[in-house]
Amino acid sequence: MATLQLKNLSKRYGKTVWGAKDINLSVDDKEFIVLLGPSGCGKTTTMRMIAGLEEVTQGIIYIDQKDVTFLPPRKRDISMVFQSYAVWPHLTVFDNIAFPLRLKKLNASEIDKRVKEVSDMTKIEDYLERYPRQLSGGQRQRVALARALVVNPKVFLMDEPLSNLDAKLRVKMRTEMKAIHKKTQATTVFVTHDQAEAMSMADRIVIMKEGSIVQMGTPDDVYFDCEDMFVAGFIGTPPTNFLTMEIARKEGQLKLVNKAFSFEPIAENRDILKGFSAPKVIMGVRPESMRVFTEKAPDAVFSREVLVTEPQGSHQIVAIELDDSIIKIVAPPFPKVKAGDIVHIGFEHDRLMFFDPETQKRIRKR
Amino acid sequence: MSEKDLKAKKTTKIIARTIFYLFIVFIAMVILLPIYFLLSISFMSDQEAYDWPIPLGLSFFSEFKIETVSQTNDYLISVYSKSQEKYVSLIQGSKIDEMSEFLNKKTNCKVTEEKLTQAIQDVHVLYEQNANEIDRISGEINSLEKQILTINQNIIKTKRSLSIVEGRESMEDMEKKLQIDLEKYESEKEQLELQIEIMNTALTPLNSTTFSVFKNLFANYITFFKVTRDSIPALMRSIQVALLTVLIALTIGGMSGYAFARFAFKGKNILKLSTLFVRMFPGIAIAMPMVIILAEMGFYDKPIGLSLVYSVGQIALTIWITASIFMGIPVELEEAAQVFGRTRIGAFIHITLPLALPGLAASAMYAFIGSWAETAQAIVLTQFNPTFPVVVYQTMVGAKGMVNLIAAGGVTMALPAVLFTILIRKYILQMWGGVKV
Repeated sequence: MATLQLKNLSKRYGKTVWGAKDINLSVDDKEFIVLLGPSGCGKTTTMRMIAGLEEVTQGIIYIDQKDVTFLPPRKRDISMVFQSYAVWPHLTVFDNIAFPLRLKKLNASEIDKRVKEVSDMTKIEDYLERYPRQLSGGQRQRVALARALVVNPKVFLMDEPLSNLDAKLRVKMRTEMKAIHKKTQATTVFVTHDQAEAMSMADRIVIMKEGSIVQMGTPDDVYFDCEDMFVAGFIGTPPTNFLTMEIARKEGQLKLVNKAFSFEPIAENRDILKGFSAPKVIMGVRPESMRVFTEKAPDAVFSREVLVTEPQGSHQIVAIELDDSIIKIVAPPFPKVKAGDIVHIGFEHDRLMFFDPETQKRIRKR
Repeated sequence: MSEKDLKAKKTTKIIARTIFYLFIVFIAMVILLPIYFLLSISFMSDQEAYDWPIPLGLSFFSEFKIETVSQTNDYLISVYSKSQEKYVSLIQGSKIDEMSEFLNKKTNCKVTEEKLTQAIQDVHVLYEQNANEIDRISGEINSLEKQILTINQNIIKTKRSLSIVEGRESMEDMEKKLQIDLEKYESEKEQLELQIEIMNTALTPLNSTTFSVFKNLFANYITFFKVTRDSIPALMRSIQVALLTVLIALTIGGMSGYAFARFAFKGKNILKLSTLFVRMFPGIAIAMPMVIILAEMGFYDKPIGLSLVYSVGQIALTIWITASIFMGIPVELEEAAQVFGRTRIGAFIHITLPLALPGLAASAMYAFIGSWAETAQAIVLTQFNPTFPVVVYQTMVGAKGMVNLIAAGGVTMALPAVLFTILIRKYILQMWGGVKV
């Protein structure tokens, strides 16, 4: 297994369109990295450049400290799982999996052994003689996975491998792939637009937007410690609620004021805001960092009428209207809240995030 | 649902199915009947081909009758015509070798001299046995024929008088009488003719023998190749032209089809249209200027020159077919092959090409058939080395309407195309369902 480094990797389409711009990324040995972002953010372009399927405009790709920027895909010692599986329809499952091994000129018994090994691991040992058209989508996905596993690559690339599966199967495959990764310990780059997938599988998540990396970190980092408003809005369902607050400074005191309510931040937040001089700040609150009280409570900051509720079983989502925007709150399943009820809302103050309205960047303690 | 409804539904289903099968049968007839006619005509002898109505069933042997002709040393040979249901006389003569040759050519049956001599001997034996009887009957026939002659004269006379009398007033009685006379004469004549026929049938077993000879079904094909100027080299040239065209069209057209399918470039749509633009011009119009160009290149009157001209149209078609086929094959399949150890060209050869085979086979078939059977351009572009369709065409205009020979040429022309299609049928059939990925 090996490491992977990207140095200022850029891809330009035509004259002005940047598919990816100045990507700097360092993947450790055995690490499972997920490139996450909305469609068109350059994550697939980046992966294809690593694979050698896309020409690099600028920058360098190192695999195991070796510059592979201009090597053809077959010489990079990588393997890849494609979104559309890309299982060759005119070859049997066995031939599909054995394809890379045959090109490496391994002898037949060795090929048999290796194919058996990976087909056991991916649970397709019963279908080896079949053709791909006789398999279901999930089974084809497993074939593609087995084919990628069989070569023992330095870097394992996966391009939205689960996006063509149905929801239930996707969750199942997620767990299985994670188990396989644990077993094979392959350095993996995984591209997805599904944050649930990213959160559940990644050692580190790389969030991309418009061709650049926005934030890199563990799933907890990108969830609780967002670098900017894009990340906060992108990660999490429902997404982070954003409230524009005025900062009222009076005799060393600091108060956050809104049309509807005002409150004094806790000491920690006060320290953060002290270094910030603009009159307004955007406060980001995760839906589950808000508290819903049906009775008046000392922690409640303001009261509002419930617009709608969405019961989810394990929890309920309560939507209220504030400043012409909808705020969604994840509340425990009981007590049940109905539309039209008056609820009292409070914050978990240590989970609040503050953003600069101009740059949309996170305001941090100086 | 009630029982009545169920029954009604069943009935409509049966009706729908019947109509469907009728339609299928109709289509099959439309396709198969002309082919059957062509085939059966190509197996016919001259005598059969110019019989009317043309017998469309295949016959495997012919029946001949040989008889002596009175007052001469000649023999009359007739052949049984299925469409007229009687013996038709073919030749009268006494020289056995000449007659044998004539019969061979006319009926495609190998009537050997020995067989003829044998038949003649049989006739002689018969004749000698029944000489008296024959003399009697022929005498009777002769007298009957004389009677007919007199009646004929009477009929003519009556008709003439009738034409004078007709339409004149006060002569109605006369006209009526003449008409009655005419009817009487004609019925007499009919009776006499009937008698002669009876006599003749009585005479037949006495003075003639019949024998049947197997027909050589492929005589027309053999004759065709014998008669037409260098038709076997022409056949070879045609195959050469067709295969060369397939090769050129598939390599150039296939490669451009791949480019159209895989790459984005400026003017792609205009190029796509312009490839078809070529096909809008009639081949003959392109052939004229091509004579000069090919002559300058040194390719005039050579198979390679012809296939170059045919390729122009075929490449366009191939591009259209292959481009859509290649578009149907996901580029990921190639990319996967590249990742797993193939070069770009290797990925194309080992992954894309096998998947595109049905489309390539279909365009190969189009190119083969299109260039194999083409006549107009070939007439213009060849002189001393014509292709096979040109030879068939020349037979058609040159040989004074030898329908069966032309049919034989036509069938010969169809054969290689049919063979080629059968050879690649597996891929063509896949083409019906499109590419399955």
